[in-house]
Amino acid sequence: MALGKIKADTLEHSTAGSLDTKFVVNGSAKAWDNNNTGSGGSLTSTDSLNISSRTDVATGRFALTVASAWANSWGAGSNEYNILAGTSTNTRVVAADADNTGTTTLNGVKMFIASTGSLNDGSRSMVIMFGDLA
Amino acid sequence: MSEILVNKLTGTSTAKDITVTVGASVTMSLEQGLAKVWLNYAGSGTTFNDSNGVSSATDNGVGDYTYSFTSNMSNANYAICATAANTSAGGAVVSACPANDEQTTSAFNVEHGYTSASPSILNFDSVSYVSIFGDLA
Repeated sequence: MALGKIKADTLEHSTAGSLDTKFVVNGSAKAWDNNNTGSGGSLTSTDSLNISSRTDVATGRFALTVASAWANSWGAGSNEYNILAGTSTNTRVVAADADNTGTTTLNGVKMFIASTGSLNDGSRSMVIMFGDLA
Repeated sequence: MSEILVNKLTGTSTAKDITVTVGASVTMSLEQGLAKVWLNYAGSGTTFNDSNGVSSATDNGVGDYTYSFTSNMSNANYAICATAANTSAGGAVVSACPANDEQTTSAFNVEHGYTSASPSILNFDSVSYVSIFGDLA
């Protein structure tokens, strides 16, 4: 018999222990992206979850729009929005773009050259986001 | 129902397709949101301090490590998030994935270093922390 939906607060394995299902909901990444930031305005993704579009804002700055919106908008200029972590190719640092937030769908990302702190388009960046969806 | 005793969750239509309600009404794939790998590696040797989803570590040199998956990924386009412990008075720590050809379905490479004017990265051995999201084969 196929079940369509189960509601439960706990999952328990016979030997490996139990897990409160809030950890499944809160502990799962809500969005991730592997993209080629490139140069000259190109911004393409190789694989992703919950990302509907990508916008090249400027050199070293781009924005990821989530398909399902976040529950909270922290306001423009804040970096306290949903958790974002990223990794790029060698010599570059990925960080949240606090100047390009303020909505429940837009997630600004910046990429810097590690040695100088200058904004720069890397060849590739990978971003993972956690938080509460609406 | 408040508790389910079970050893395995499997989708009824497609094995890995299980939907979870993650917002007031928003749903998403359980499988897509789960980290496929997490690891804590001491920076030397072939074993992990703790891990899930990786079978071995290779120390390629100072701050340069290759990790092999226990189960292969379906493609090489997974997202890596890496960081390292800052263990000395060096500059800001950078963790990077050097090149596409070093990210395959069976293994991936991560380098850790301090930022520096020249060269731009000074590799260093430290505890390596990595998580990966993407599609398993």
